[in-house]
Amino acid sequence: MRSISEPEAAGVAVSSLDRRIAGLAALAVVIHLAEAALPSPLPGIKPGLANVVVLYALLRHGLQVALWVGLLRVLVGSLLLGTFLSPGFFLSLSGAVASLAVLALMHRLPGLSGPGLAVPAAMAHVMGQFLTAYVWFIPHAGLFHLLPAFLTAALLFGLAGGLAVNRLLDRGLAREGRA
Amino acid sequence: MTRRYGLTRGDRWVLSAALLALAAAWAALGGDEGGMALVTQEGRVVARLDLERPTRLTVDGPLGQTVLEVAEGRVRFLSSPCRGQLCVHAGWLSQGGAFVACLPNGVAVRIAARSERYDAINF
Repeated sequence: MRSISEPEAAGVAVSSLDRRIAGLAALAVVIHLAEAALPSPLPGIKPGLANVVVLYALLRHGLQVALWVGLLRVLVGSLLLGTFLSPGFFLSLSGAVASLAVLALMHRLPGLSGPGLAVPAAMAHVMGQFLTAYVWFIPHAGLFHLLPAFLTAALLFGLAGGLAVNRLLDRGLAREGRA
Repeated sequence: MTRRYGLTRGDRWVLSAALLALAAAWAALGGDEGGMALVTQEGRVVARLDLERPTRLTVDGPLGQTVLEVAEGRVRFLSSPCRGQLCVHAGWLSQGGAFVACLPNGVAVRIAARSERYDAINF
């Protein structure tokens, strides 16, 4: 017999989609926290491993799950790090919104796999953050001198993340084929 | 979809476009945007220098004469009567928004930027 979760006991219906979103979002949040503790040679440059989970969610379960996972990651991650509504939170949010928008537009294009989606999404993430930083926090043209370095990192990490998603999906399909 | 090195044909197209955009971003970095330098003496604007027109400007301050030099789209403090000489050692300015001041003699130079609201917000 399946155990009844707390929300169910409280009379809230929990669908299998909810469980899937919660599981993937929890994974993304944990990766987000672990990454926040990593030192970086240039403040703000991060591998963005949590977004690997978002892309996996998109390719495996569709846009709706990916949007939930991507936004929950930012919200819950900021609550746990204590940065909710701080500048860092808004930078994080604008990056996530920009990359999710690019994913939403591009995931219907034929012939693209992980890297073809992850690289544009990572670069959109950086540009969304720079736009917010420029409009709101540092209205100085000098800010954009950092952009090429950040975009280079985005391209490399996006490529690596996209290839990782391809591996994950291939393995998942292989396992299902054997089962 | 067939993949070589983990990339589909579509991925390779997207990756090529991304590399092009990246090269353009690096190339745009080299371009200067300067244009005008605003010279102030104790807060009052004493001159607007066109960086494309080589010239020298002498500004009088409480310590004496500060000499500014404009050449090749850049501006610098050529000499200053102050003790620290920080302004002179700051060297050439060419980027929009760049700023150097000689506090002892009250002279400041800033290259006009497109927007001048504030430097940054921090929490």
